[in-house]
Amino acid sequence: MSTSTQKPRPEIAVDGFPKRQSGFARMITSADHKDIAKILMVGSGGFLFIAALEFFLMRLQLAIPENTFMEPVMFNRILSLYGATSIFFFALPLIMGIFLYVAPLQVGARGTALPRLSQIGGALWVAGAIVLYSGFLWTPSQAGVNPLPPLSELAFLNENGVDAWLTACGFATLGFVLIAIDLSSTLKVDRAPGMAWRRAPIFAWAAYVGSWLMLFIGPILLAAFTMLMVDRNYGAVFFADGAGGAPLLWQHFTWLFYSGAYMLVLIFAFGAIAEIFSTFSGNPIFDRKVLMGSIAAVAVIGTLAYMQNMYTAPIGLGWKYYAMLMSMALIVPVGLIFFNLISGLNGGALRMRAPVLFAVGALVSISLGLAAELQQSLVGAAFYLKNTTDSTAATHFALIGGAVFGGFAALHYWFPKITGRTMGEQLGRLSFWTLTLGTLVTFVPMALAGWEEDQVVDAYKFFNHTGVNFYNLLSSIGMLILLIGVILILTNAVASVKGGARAGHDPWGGSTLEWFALSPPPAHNFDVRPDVRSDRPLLDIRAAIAKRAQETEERAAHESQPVA
Amino acid sequence: MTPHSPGTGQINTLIWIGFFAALIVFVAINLGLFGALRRFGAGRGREARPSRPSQGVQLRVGGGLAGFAILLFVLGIIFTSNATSTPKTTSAGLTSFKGEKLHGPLVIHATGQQWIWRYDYPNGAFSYYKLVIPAHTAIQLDLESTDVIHTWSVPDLAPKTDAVPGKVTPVVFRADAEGEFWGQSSTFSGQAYAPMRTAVEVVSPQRFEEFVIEQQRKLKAGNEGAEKIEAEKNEELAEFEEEEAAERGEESPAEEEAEAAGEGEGPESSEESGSEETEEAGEGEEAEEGGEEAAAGGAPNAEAGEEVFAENCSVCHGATGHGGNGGPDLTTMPKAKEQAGAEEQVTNGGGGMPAFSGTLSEEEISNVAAYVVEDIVGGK
Repeated sequence: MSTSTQKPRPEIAVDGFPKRQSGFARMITSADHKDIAKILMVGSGGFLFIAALEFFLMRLQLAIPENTFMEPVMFNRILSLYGATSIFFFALPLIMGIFLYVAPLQVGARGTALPRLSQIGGALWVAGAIVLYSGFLWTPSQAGVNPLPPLSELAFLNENGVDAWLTACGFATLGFVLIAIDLSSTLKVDRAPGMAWRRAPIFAWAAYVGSWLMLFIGPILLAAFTMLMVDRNYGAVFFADGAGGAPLLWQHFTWLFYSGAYMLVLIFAFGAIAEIFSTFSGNPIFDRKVLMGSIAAVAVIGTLAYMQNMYTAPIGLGWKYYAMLMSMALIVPVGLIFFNLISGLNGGALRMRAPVLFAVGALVSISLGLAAELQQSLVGAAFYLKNTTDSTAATHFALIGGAVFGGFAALHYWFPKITGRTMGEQLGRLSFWTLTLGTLVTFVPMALAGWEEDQVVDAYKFFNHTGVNFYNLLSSIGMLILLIGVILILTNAVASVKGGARAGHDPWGGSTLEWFALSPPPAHNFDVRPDVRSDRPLLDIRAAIAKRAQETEERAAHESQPVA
Repeated sequence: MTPHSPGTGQINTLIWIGFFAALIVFVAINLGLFGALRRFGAGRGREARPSRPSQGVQLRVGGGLAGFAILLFVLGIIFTSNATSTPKTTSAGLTSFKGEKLHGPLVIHATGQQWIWRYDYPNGAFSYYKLVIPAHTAIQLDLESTDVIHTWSVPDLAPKTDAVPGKVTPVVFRADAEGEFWGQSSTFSGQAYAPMRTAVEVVSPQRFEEFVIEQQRKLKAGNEGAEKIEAEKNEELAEFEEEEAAERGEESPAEEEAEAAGEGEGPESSEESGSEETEEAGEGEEAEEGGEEAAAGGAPNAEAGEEVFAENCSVCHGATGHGGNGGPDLTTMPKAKEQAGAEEQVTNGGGGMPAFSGTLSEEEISNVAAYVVEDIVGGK
């Protein structure tokens, strides 16, 4: 090797400065995981309002018996829209968005592994939203929350609304699958040096498990949607009866997806709550191995229990027992997660800030919902309770707990990282209590009406003298409160983007790597990728900084000492 | 729900077991959570001194949870298999039907269609909306669907079960109390899903036999009545045509159409006409008399009736009144051929059709009846 002078070369070469772009143009053309995630999060915030409004309109119709406020067709259209909006355009994009924003930061990645996939995914989701809400161009679907064939077949609904519904939700699901591919690869290969899974943050683990779950369930739903589209438009008979089609096949496909999505909401919430409890109580994760294992087990077992949605369908009793076995088996990992989350508080000093408040609300709501689901996953009990408003209430408790309370716990917690400002604490508390009151007043009477008087789901009216008038009125009032709560929390979020108190890069004193980046993080996330030596890397970094500061101080003191 | 059958008794017990299990889970989690929040808040300025998980604590908790889960699973299986097992007909029940000894449960077919239930009894009789069964007798209800998925649900008597097109799904139960029970379909099935209800009348075995025989007789009478009307109508038409032909020497195209319509109706009506005559047999005679009256009465406004029909009737009978959505084709209904019969049917309902006396005014009823008689059946 020649020893002649080799000029040091810059590591990064650029062809001049990038062109100046407006923020909007940069946002929609960006393949940066943070920008795509922002589109998903902002969009799902808007759809939360729309979903709540739709639910409120339906409750308005159901406030009094035999109401004629709304035509049955109109009610069914709103019902179908609500089903798509709440799942595909609020809960899942919010979760995938927060996963996509936070998880790469948490593992110290400088970007995602396959950014273009996420970009296409985000664009597909937006396309789906546009298709769904261009309903004025065609007659919207009236096939219900889950468009069960044969009702959703051409023979019964020959409007193109059903096709639009399928296209919209299909686009969104395909988007989630692409994002899941990106996210799972990033979390697999791009973790900071030294970050073995035993040192990775729980939320990043939840994102990893959640991505894999989406990779399994998403394509199944897409297959079902495609088959129904082919049925409707090209005369196939996958699900049509009479010509060898199997209406039940659709239920197997879609309930598998919906159960998996349910579990995705739960593991997202558990992951976020674990981080929040750990940060605000100053404790490490209680038992990392058990918590991580339980999260993975929830994803697998909960999805396998999907046939508990089909207890009244003509499938063999053995399958129903199998679904019940899986549902009961779910008690163990879910119970262990609750035990570990609560034990994580032991000996800590919990600061009761808004994220913690929302996290506690999420745990209460999820525990209520899952306890009610436990009752319904007993086959015999479901012979009565299934498809009553009791089952609606149970599902909503768990999913509102996971996606609304859990989602906003996560947003409150990571908002400073995303925008550089904290969300308003006072308005946060107010919106929390409004949401709590609204959820209880809406869904407790609904559960009672279902259990005591067999009020059925999805119906556009109920009859007088069936003993449910009071429950329904109360539930409608509760929904008004819930809607106000949603408006409050969205106002808080929107107002805080520009008007919130400025936060540094680490406002809560977190222990995971995302708090090492600037707020908001630059396009490349980290100038330096730190070596990870423990499961709380930021504590090591802080200790190192403190140590260095002390040394500098000592040295300075030493040097400034007069020589004797 | 108030269980009135052995199966639903088991279901109710299991629901309460599930409720207490859920209560235990919910209370345990929240006691733990709020206890921890109380004890380990930062309010008193305490420092975080985390506790380490002690050896084997996860195993103990997990084992406890597994035990709880297994217990629930076993209880679930026991009560579910009890609830789905075929009950025995007791000595107070129906042991023989039409003189023949019953060996298994009494088999009745239930067919769901948008948006009404039809019940077919073993002797060929059938009824819409209301199922009549004998008490203390094992019943096997074979659920079928002609269009979309429906769920047959009468919570006091039997487990909820889906009727899926292309499949026959049996539900077995035994009603232990006489009386009337209600149920509502509970799988979303389209526009008129909410009012798709059903009633089950549990009667004594003697009364049941009387009912099915009576029902069969009524259906036969209904059929005969319809045939008689058709025959008379055709006869009149033929006479009229003869006269016309004699007068003018040729037929106008309008009459040809009328003739064709009349002929077209013939075979249909004899097959189908029974569908709505569950409660009003022998009204063929009424229909005969009513025919002329309807033609004479000019007061009811058929145009106004069209609107009423679109709002109230088209849901079941289809936009043009030719059936399709659960309600029968009106042109095949003997009662719909004359004003008085149509008014009576709309006012009082019956045969699966709800009574409209509370919902519509008398004027509206006569208008809609006129619309049905003149425009739909009259073929205007």
